Amino acid sequence: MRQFHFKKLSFPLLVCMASAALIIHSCKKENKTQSLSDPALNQAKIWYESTYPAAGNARMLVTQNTRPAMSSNFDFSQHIKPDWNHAKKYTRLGKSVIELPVDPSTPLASAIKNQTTGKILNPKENSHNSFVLLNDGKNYEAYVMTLLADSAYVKSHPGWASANTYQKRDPDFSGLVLYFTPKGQYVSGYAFRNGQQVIPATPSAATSNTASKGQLTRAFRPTARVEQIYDCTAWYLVEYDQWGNITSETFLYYTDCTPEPGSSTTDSGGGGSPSTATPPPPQCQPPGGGAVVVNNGLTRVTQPPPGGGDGGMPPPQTCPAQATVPLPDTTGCGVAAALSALATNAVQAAQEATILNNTVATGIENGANQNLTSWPGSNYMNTPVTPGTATTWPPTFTWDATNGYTVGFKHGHGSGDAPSPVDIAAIVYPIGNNHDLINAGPAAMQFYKANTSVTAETTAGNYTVTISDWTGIQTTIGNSFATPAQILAFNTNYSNLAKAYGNANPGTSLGDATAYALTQLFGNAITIYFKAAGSTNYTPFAITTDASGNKTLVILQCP
Amino acid sequence: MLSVIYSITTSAQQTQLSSSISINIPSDAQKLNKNEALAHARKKFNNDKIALLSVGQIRDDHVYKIRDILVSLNVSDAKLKVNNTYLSDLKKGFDALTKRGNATNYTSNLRKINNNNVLITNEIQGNVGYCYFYCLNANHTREITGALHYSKEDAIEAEAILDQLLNSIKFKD
Repeated sequence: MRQFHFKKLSFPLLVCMASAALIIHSCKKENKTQSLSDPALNQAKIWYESTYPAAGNARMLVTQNTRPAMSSNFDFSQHIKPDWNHAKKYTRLGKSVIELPVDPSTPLASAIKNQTTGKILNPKENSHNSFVLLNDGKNYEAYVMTLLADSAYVKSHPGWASANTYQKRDPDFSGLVLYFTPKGQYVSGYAFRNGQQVIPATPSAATSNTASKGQLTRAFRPTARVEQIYDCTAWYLVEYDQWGNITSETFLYYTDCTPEPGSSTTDSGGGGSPSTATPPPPQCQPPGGGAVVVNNGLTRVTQPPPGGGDGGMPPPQTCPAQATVPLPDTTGCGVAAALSALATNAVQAAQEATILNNTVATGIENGANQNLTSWPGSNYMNTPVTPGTATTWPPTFTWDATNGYTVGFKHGHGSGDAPSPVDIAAIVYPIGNNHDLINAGPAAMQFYKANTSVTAETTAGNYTVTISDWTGIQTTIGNSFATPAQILAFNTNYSNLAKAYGNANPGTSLGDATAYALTQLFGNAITIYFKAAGSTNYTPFAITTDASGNKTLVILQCP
Repeated sequence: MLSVIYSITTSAQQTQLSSSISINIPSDAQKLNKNEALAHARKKFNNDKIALLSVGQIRDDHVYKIRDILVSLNVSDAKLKVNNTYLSDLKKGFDALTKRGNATNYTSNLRKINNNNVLITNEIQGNVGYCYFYCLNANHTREITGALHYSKEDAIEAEAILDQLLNSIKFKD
């Protein structure tokens, strides 16, 4: 059997081994999560460290010879960590905020570089990184906020870094505010000059995913006829370690896109020289650079307002993933187009004919609920036509998969009048009162609000009312149409206005006279549409006022 | 409504309201603009909100004060495009509308006066009377409408003025 002989260990070797053990122990101890005394901070820390686990304390020491290749994202979480001992907590823009400096053991400096010229703007000494954790009451979000101050500003404001936080922006701040996820995904950015936000003058064409980075970049902006080629400048974020070595260069965004000579009939003569000023980050843009008409509706991609009106930094905001965000249809033409489209539906048309015929024949208001098979959607159930009374037709509201999702009702008005105030109140009522709709959640309520309508069918045609301002309508109904006395007074005014208008305007139908009365009582909270008998074309009404102050109900000509 | 009608003897002159419609306006009528009509209404009807709302809708082309009765007349130069049931449809509609409101002593009548077709509605709300008339020529191509706003104690006088006006309407075509 072989025998092992252990040499006696020398003292220096013993010291080394002990030191190594101490270092290893110290690292392990440091790696172990330290609890904080503040429960909110502790909870945030636990969340952050589990969501963005660090690889350890080792920092990459990069020399010129081993500079890493340009990367798509600089993973902050592997290079810096929050200083939990110097956290600041507050509430801002409806969220709980924890603002934390970068732990001094893991410093980081940043700069922005014009990849075309190689020139560095905003030298790294003019940068400042920090962590911003936001909580909306349910979920955490974490961001790295990178400030890149202009040199002139830094020179005149030597203490600028402490004067600019997420909570409070120096009124004189000049430079960039950039937000990244801890993993390095660029979120949004804003440029400031002397405290004022600088908005890019023209929409950037830099939405192309096909442009290559790291060189003079061409981006495509397809047009209807001519393929436009743009020369864009690529800006990179450069990160430095504590020794001043570049650890990464990551693509940030394109700016200064100008048409390439010969690529467009509107050629301006060539690309401009790269800007030497801090480039404003592009703001969210719609495809095509402007309002988008989709299905005759007016929609537009919008970036939420940057906020910062409270004196803080604009908050991190990602551009909407979806292409469009609907805007209020202030003319009514979008909704009119949708109503017209629905009027061509054979089932709907047959139902309407039954409603009107039964109403005229019997003198009893007949009607039908308008129930969708699903939401969001536009497929209607073939709901039954049922009789009401001589003066009313009571709708039945449902919000479930079996009975359908009620988004309004249609009924006959044998007298020829437009939907009454009671009819309008009936489509407002489910908001705040119908438990199935309430339990279905905010998105369901929003869908209902955007799609509900009430129609009165007359022999002259259909009058349809939609709600344009839910706050306004609920205020009017709550203040003026809630008690029997209020309802009586409101109906009296409605009747008086209709009679007075009809008398002042010879030839006016009762439908138009009552529609006018509704506009005077509900104002801009409603929009009224009319479809003449035998037509499928709905148009919105509008009110014109002449020089003498006389108001007239007119048909709006939609494009 | 009283069945006895006072005959008021006063001079009047046929006034051309449009190229095809004329009416007798009493010579003691005072022509007003809309602001003056509203000022009269505020004073005469004691700032009655319903009355002011109604008077606020009148057009100031042909507004008169005839012995404290506010009379507003309306004509259209364009030919009317309505069917033969226009007035009866209006009557039916106004009857239904009024039932939802607060009016008392509401009446509505369809009459033929000098071969013209006339709808007259009348009601009292508070202390104010509201009389509306709609007069079509025989072939339903021309219309003159009018409103009388009066204190309820002036109801008899208002009825007399209405009667005089309706009997003097002339359509050229």
